[in-house]
Amino acid sequence: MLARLARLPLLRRALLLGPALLIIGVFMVLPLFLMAYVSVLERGISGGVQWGRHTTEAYVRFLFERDLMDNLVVNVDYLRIFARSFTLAFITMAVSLAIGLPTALYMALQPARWRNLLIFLVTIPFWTNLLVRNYAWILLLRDSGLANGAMQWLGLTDDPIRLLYTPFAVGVGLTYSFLPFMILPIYASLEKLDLRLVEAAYDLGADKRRALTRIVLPLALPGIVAGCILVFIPALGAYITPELLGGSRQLMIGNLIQGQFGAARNWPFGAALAFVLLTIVLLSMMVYLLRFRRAPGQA
Amino acid sequence: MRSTAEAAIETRRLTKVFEGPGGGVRALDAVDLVIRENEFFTLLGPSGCGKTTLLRLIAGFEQPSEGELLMRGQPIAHQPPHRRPVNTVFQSYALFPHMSVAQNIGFGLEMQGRSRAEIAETVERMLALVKLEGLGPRRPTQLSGGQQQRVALARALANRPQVLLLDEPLSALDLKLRKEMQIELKRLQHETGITFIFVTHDQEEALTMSDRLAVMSEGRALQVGSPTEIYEHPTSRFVADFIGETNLLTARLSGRDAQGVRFALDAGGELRGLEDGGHEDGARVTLAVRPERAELAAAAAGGEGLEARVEQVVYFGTDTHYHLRLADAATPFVVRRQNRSGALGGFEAGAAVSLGVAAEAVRVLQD
Repeated sequence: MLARLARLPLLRRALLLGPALLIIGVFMVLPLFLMAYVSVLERGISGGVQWGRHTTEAYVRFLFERDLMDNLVVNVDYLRIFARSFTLAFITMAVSLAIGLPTALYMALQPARWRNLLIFLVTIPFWTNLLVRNYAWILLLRDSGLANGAMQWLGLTDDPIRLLYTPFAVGVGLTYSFLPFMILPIYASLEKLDLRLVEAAYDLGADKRRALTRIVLPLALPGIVAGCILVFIPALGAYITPELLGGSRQLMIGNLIQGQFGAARNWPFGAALAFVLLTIVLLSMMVYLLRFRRAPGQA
Repeated sequence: MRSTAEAAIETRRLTKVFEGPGGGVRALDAVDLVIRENEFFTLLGPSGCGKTTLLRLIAGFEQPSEGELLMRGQPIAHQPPHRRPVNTVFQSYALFPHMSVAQNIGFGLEMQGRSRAEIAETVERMLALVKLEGLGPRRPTQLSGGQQQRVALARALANRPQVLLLDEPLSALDLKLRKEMQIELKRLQHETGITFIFVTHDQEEALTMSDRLAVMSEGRALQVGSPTEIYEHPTSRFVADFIGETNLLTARLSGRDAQGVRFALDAGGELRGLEDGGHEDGARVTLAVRPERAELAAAAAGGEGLEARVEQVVYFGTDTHYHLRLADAATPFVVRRQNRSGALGGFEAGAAVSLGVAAEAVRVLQD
């Protein structure tokens, strides 16, 4: 495909690639550089920035705070929020994988005419706005909600257990929101899997468990990796779910950044936080992909 | 039913119905077969005849609807595939793409929990057996079709199964490779002493490779026997027609005498045969005559031959095919004559000839 493209005359190549490059350039690369610049400017008194006045204060603030004598004192509050976000995103990814993998496997093993219906069912949540779906979880998880009601009715507890505004609620909300992004890529790689390979494994003496671990999972690995990335990264930067289900004490990176641009009126610090996050994600992805490239299953 | 302790595989009234709309499909219909130890046994038939279904039942991928499946006298229908001492060479090879050739071949032994050293040693031996020394570290996708075929064979043989199932393993190869692999398979079967059950729709492959074969059609095993028996003594119209070329003639069993049986052909004239195929006098029968078993002579010579006219002459190099019409000017008949050096000149299209069919060349079919 690229080879064919390279043979086209320059003008036609430019016309073909132009729209995509323009959109990426104007709507992604440019704002990114703008934000990078904002992160090294001084904050404006009532929001915004003071153009032309450069400082690295925003990055210093991520790890330190200034006491009354203007000395730098280590402050781990923001690191703690980052750690909480990474933990929650990782748990979300792990739970999504634990639920998504068997689901995708089940879907891939259904007769062809059922599969499209099942894919359709998986995508149904996308029809409704994320905000609305998260409000629905509030109704389910609050003290007088369905979950507590059911537990009280079953006699498991007398007083309502606090579910809403806990890390648990955020984890449930994130897993629920991002589960389809885990299921669909895994399903796509399982559906391509040649079932005769599984038969061959049985034939050679593998039981079901070993046919799964030695044949099915290694061949589905690209889908599993894609699913994990697609869940982990958006979960890390999630904003709406922790905002609605986590309450004020369960800040995640997304809410922190939003706060800097909003109530705190500290744009440079918000931009700096975003770039710290971006750097961490890019570095971890590079390590991950380099390791994965050498893993079996990738010729 | 005779019970055969030495049978590698025995099926008794084995039936497989695939449920579906309209009552389902009877893929196998009460098949009785006895496949002996150390035998190269072929299931031959057109696509959809049930040969692959039978293979999948023996492998354990499908469960029989009715009937029994015995291995060395023991019923095995309830055993899952991974417990059966049976291995399969798949039509598509089904090599594991994420493993090396050596890992593919060693997979079965690994599943049996053999030691690393034993696996490595067996893999080397198997690579030598299929003449792929040194290719162990490669990926299957880096091999040619013929080499992949050999890996599939080595992988199935590494477990030392009692029975090796081969599902049209040569169909994806080109003609020259196929011929090589045919000889190769015979050699492997001879060297390993394993019972081979080979599925094919290629009658030539079946005749040249098998110790015995079963001709299948519409879920039934129509005839079982050695290649010679099947070719020389087909019992049914389907077998006679499917294996090699044959001339089918409808006739009436008109009488018997000291020399044998007389048949009055619908196309006119009379043929003599040695057998009656179990039919009574006056019964309508179908006769089969192989093209190479009939003689041609000039019509002027007279004699006992059938009247015929040459319609077309096709030259094949080693032999020449004469397409004739019998006395009714409708019934076709093909005669194949070898082109020996110094042989008498052929017959031109349009020539009137006398067609001689010896009594022992006439087969009476049962249907």
